[in-house]
Amino acid sequence: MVTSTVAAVDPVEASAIGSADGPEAQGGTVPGVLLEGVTKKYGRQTVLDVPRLEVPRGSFTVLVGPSGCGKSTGLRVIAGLETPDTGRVTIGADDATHTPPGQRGVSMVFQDFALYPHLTVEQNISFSLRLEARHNRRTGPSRAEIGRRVTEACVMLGLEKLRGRRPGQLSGGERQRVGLARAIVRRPQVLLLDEPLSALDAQLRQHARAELIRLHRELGNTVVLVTHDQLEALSMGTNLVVMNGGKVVQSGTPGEVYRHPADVFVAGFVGSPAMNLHEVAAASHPAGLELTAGTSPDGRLRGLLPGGGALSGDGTLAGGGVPDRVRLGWRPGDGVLEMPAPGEPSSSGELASTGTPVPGGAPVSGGAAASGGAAGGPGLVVTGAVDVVEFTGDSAVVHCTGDFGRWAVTVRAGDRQPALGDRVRARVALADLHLFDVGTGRRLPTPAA
Amino acid sequence: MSRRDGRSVPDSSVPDGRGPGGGGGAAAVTRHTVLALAAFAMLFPLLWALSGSFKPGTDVYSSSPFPLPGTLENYRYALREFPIGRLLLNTFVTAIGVTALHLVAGVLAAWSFVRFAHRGQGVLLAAVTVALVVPPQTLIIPHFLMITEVGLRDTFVGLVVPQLSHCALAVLLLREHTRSIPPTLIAAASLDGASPFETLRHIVLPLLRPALGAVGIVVFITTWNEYLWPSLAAPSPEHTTIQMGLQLFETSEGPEHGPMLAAAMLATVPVIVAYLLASRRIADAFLQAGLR
Repeated sequence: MVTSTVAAVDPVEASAIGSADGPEAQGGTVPGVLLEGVTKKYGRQTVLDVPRLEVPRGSFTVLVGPSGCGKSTGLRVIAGLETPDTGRVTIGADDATHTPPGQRGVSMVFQDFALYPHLTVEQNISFSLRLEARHNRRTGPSRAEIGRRVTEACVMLGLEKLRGRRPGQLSGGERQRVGLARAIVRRPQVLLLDEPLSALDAQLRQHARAELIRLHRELGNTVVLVTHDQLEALSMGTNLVVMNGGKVVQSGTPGEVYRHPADVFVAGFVGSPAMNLHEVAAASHPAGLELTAGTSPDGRLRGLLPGGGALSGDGTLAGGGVPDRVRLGWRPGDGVLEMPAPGEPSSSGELASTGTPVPGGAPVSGGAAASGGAAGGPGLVVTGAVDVVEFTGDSAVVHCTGDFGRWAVTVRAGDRQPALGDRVRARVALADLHLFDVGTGRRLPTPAA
Repeated sequence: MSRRDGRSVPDSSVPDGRGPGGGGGAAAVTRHTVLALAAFAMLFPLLWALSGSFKPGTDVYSSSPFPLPGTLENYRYALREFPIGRLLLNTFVTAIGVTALHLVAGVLAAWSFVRFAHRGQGVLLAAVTVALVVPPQTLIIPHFLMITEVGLRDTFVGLVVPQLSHCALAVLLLREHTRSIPPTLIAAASLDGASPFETLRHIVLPLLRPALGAVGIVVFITTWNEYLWPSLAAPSPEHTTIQMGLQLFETSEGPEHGPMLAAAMLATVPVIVAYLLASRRIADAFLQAGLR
């Protein structure tokens, strides 16, 4: 109570103290940023609806989602540029819901960098400190202090030689660094980055990504980055928050999100090339879950997911029964492309029969393979004809069409490349399969999970 | 065929390189002729007045276009017999005062329109736009009654303040220019801890400088040339403007056209200087505002 009163009287000072203490001082108990019950509507449209979102202190959190998913609005709510219709925004230990942007201890780098065009690089960077000095003549930074901190920021971002230039005389990469310097010179508790790399050309972006990660390591403060680029999100964040339609769909480490996508949307959005998704029929089987797909009575795909019986016992399924249809997903990178040997019969019917058994034969052996799942062992076999081969340097993405719909598989560049029209099959280990509910899109537990 | 094409390409590129319009010689000649004629038609009255101001005595009425032999007597007479310096000073102070008021009101209104999205903003904006199409002449009688009522008739304040009523153009133009400032700049300033007023002072005003210059010059020239309002609000020679002061040459023995033209020429000089200094800015500012 007392501390919050102090913060209300002089938030600038309070935030300065908070940032001086560093993340270690308060331990892991205080989150960097906490949104509780935050909603925001524009007219009738709800653009943000977040019951709870915690940004861990000291984390590099990436908000990722397609355009219009509410990630930028979320960032602006944290910054104080938007006031939420309902809910609470907590930054560090303080309720910041109604604190003006400049007094929250946050700073932001904008997509267009938003450098003041009439001021030099040095004046741009020192602007906030000069204002602070004017607002609090006694507690604010002195002229010498301002000079020292501006120099520090310039050195950190390699801007010493550009201090006298104006933004119009800088390249895109230099502008981005000035925007960063302007943001970190205030020593913010939370650094907000709104698509700071999207205005850079591809080559520079790679470099800037590494720079941002290094900067976060050196400063040790909380960073929240917004991007629509899932690759950027996976490679930079220590904590990933996937948003869609104004809601948080999943949050976790990039590895968790990539390996265990919470629903079909995340599965399709995170990872490139996107996860292959097929709708298949499912039926309960004493040994597990029986899956069938395709048109022939035999099924182009048929097999058992051992341990799938747990599915029916799981509370996530309505009625406690096994759904009659599920969505089956696998990542192109998890598939192993197999090209039938020239001698091997390659009519579609034959191929289909080779591809038929999913867990490599009998349910019993499938059950044994659930723990192993090695390549060549039990797993999913998908067949199709090569449609497009996309060369990406280290590897190639082979897009195929089959009775099973469209699917893609990644092939290492050194391996033999299939030609257009070839009949091929891909084998996916059991552990690499994902199952989703057809209706809700939610992830279903799999034996591998 | 192909050889001819090969030769014609460098040939045709030569006139393109010379003429900025690229329309070829004949078209350029036509265009410049039309423009020259139009310019001459517009400048003719001014040139005639200029010529007349150098003509001695009754020669003012002669139809000769050139003041031969020329004389500076009219200028000497105007400067000696009439308070031209005082009138010019009055006009200058009035125009500067009105311009300053327009800019202050315009900037504050524009910033408030852009920064503070409030209810009824559409109505306010419509009201300002309507004010733009109200002819200033319709306001002259109410204004006259108002300044007479409060005893400001024939004073500097009474002359200047009512002219603020046609600041709608300044408000609208400056609003357009303020809107064209990237919103992220304003957001960045607020994250840097600047209050709305500090944002206006340190970020918006410097960026509005070209627009302020253009609007300022337009208001300055309009006010300088204002005739009707000064003739009512400040009729006495001590307080009136040069446009009104030219009437003083209508003496009881008839008009003294020579010295009057000389005085009119002197009255025009500051406006021409102001325009020459800022013509490019004016064109740019109106062009930018119009494009949005």
